[in-house]
Amino acid sequence: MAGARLTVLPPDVHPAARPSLEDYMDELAGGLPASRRARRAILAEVGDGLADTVEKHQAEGAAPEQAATAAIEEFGSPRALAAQFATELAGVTAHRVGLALICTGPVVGLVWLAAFIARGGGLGWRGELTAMLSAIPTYAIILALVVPAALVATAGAGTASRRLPVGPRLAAAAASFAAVGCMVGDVTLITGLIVSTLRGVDESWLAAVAVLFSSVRLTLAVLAARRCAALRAAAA
Amino acid sequence: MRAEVLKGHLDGLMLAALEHGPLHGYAVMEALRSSSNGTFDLPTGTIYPALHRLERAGLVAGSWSSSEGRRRRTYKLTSAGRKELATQRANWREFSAAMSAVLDGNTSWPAPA
Repeated sequence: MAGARLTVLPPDVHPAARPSLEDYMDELAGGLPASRRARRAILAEVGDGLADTVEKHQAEGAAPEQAATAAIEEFGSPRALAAQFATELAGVTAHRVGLALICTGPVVGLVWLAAFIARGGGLGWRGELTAMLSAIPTYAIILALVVPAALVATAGAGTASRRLPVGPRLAAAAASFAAVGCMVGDVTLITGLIVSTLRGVDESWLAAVAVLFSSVRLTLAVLAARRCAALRAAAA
Repeated sequence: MRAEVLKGHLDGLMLAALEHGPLHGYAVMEALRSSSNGTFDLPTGTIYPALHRLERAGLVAGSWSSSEGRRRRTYKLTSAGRKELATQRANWREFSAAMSAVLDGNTSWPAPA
């Protein structure tokens, strides 16, 4: 694995047992396409469990190296373990992405709406909105697809995961889809605004705020879509 | 006992292990081993993702603590976890009673045609 070693083994593990345990943990870390924080947490937890298992074998009379080998055997393949953790992370990440999109969607939408109202001088904004939706019908279609996908993604964890037959992999796929949909929607809105500005339409400061909000969401949606896709691919 | 045999029952077993108080992953595994007299001897690694699955579903809550230089994650049942355990217990009693009745021959079969 490139970069600093993330391996977190308790300090009381016997030095002779450490090399093979650290190799195991490195392989586990290599199979986890998670954030550095999430990976460290998983490695700390598994490291603690491995240390307990080594201690048990040492207490039964095994030498530290043998105890480490036995502990690794008990834990099973690090690749298989990483895939199982990736499945759980996929569900949790999908849930967070789904919630984030559902919560931020109305905020971003309202800012854009305010920008359209301001452009129309507060008059005829309904006409502006209708014109926008008819000019870019794809935006309405995107909304119709993104909202249900984001709702499915939220079922990756929490109460909904117990009640709906949505597994972590499906939730992660839905989260990726919803994030990509948001990206398309934001790019469509920003592009539309740039085109109208080039045509000489006076935009208010609210339009700049709307672009800023959409740009932030666009960036986060790109990261979320990539993370969900990677976790889904790594999941068991 | 092989892990595949326990598939579908592992969540209930882990919830039962946590019923009497918070435990860390290795202690959950040891509780399963000792309370089953060594019958449930799963690969230790499987317990950790399984605990994460229960946490993802909101059935257990995990928290970090430190003692003697070790960071340790312990899990405790949530109220949803206690309800789920009660449901799984009731389902298992019904299932095992029906299985016993059939396998032990304590049932009256219809007369052969």
